[in-house]
Amino acid sequence: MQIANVVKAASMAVAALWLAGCASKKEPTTAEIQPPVVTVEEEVLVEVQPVLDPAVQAVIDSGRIDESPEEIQELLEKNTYFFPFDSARLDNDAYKALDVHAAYLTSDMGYMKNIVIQGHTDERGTRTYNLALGERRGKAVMDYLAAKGVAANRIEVISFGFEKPLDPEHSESAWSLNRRAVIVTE
Amino acid sequence: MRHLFKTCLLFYCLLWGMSAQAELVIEVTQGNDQAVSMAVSPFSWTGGKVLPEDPAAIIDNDLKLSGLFKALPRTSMLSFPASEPEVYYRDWRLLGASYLVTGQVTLRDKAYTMNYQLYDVVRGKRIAKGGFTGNSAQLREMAHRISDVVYEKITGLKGDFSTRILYVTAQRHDAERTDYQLNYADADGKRNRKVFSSSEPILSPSWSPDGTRATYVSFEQGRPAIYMQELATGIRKKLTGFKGLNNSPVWAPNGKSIAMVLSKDGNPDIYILDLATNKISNVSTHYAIDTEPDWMPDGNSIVFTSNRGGSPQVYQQELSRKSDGEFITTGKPRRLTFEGRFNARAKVFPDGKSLALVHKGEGAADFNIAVLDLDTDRLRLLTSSRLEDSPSIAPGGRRLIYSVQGGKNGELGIVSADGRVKQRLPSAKGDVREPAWGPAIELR
Repeated sequence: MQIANVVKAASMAVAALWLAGCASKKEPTTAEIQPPVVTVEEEVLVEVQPVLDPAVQAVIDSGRIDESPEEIQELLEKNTYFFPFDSARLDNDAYKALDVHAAYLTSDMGYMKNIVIQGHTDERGTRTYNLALGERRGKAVMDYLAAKGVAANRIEVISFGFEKPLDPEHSESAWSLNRRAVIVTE
Repeated sequence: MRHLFKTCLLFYCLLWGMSAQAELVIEVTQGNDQAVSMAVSPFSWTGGKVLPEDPAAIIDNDLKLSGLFKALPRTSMLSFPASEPEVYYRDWRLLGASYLVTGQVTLRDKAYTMNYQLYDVVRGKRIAKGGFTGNSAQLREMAHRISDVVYEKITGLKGDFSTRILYVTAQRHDAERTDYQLNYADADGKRNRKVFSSSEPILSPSWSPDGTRATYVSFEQGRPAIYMQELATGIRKKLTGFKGLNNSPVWAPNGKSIAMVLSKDGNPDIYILDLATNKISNVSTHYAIDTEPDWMPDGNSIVFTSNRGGSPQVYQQELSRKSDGEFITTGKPRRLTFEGRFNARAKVFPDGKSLALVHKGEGAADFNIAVLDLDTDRLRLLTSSRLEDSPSIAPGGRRLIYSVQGGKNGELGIVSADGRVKQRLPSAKGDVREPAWGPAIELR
């Protein structure tokens, strides 16, 4: 009973966070700045069980991920994976997040979605070699998702080499930000 | 008399200053202390109005940019001879000029004729003369052709002044927005013309051997595809748009096929598109990265970058073409580079005896342009800035153009094959990158 309560409280917190996140995405309009008009319907809404982000719920329902809803939410939002120099090797943090993505993409909610994985590199080396290296990075993510049951024909890898740096500076810190693969869900 | 020359000179400067709008300005960063002293007297002009170009200034600048010559400034000249009878060798000897060029431009029925004479000042005799005819838009070409003749007459080597360079500019506004443009300009940086522009990346331009078309990679559809475009008309055609990589198109020396990199079969490999049959042959099948092909001058083999040995190195693969347009490999690829942890984007010199490539030494941090002698395996660094890329060799093989990054803006550099003369071509705005030195322009 107590555990159920904790779970309920946690889900409420997550739902609140999620709603807050949604709200913060758009600029407030004049209408939104107006004090809220309390209606009967709204009171009814408050009584309804708070719902999780459907994607998080889908991952929980898959039964494949043994993490808290907050953790799952966070891992689902992690769409960028970083790499060492001249390497296409993913680290354990990446695997953990990709497990959650795979669970979502194979769930009832996510199985229709196609994804694009962008591969990027830092500016060292040649532009054309880096296009191939960027593809390697995208492929590393794709291969992992495919191994976890996401059909490879739903995934397209597009390498940009170092044409689209996150940070255009010429420093170690910029380079480590630029060596990345990014999952874009369509 | 001298005063009159000065006035004329000022007038010249004003006129030519106004017509110059080039985006690429070539700055000499390292000259040649043994340069031959040269004087190019202003060309005479009989055709009314004002001649839209200053041929002597164009020739003078070409010869300076070659690094083998230093030009006597007009302000030091004692006279401006327009033809042979007006040449007083003693005056030019006093000024220290070893060679002198004079010339005349005439106009008849909208056709310009540009004649030239080259004199050996030390021996006191004319050693060459000739002329070219064309329309007003070809005046610069005619002057560049005279530079070629002068260069060849004095050095015994073919000049590369009648050539053009393809390059990409990129202007980054913010993380979301960058404007890319493919351009070409004359080898002296003048007469920039747009080929194609996009808000998505443009990469690896290359020339058809006849200089009429460019191939390049454009991400305009959100993914890479290889395009071919006719420069005179702008007509373009998508050559490939496979899933995965479509990059590094390079024309075979005979212009009949294009080597490229595709990863449609799961892995970056070298493919050859036969233009007559549209057949695409895979000529490298290793599971490692194979990329950046270039052709040997005989067209019977390619060099390419592969990391099959653990680090990116350059390999050579013999090929043969079957009658149906299919290319097949003969023998195994042979590794050509051994020194350093990174050797890539190799370009073959016109004589096939050496490669220009991007090199990073063992333990070094910089990526530099180097030349590998294929007979002796000796590797020689030509340049020394931080991040260099995309070497491209001028016809004749005496100069290379490449890109330099790591500073505020990406810029281009030109270096003589012996490493003695260096020039920079900074961009007026944004980055300049991906240069490709084209073949000589034919004057028709």
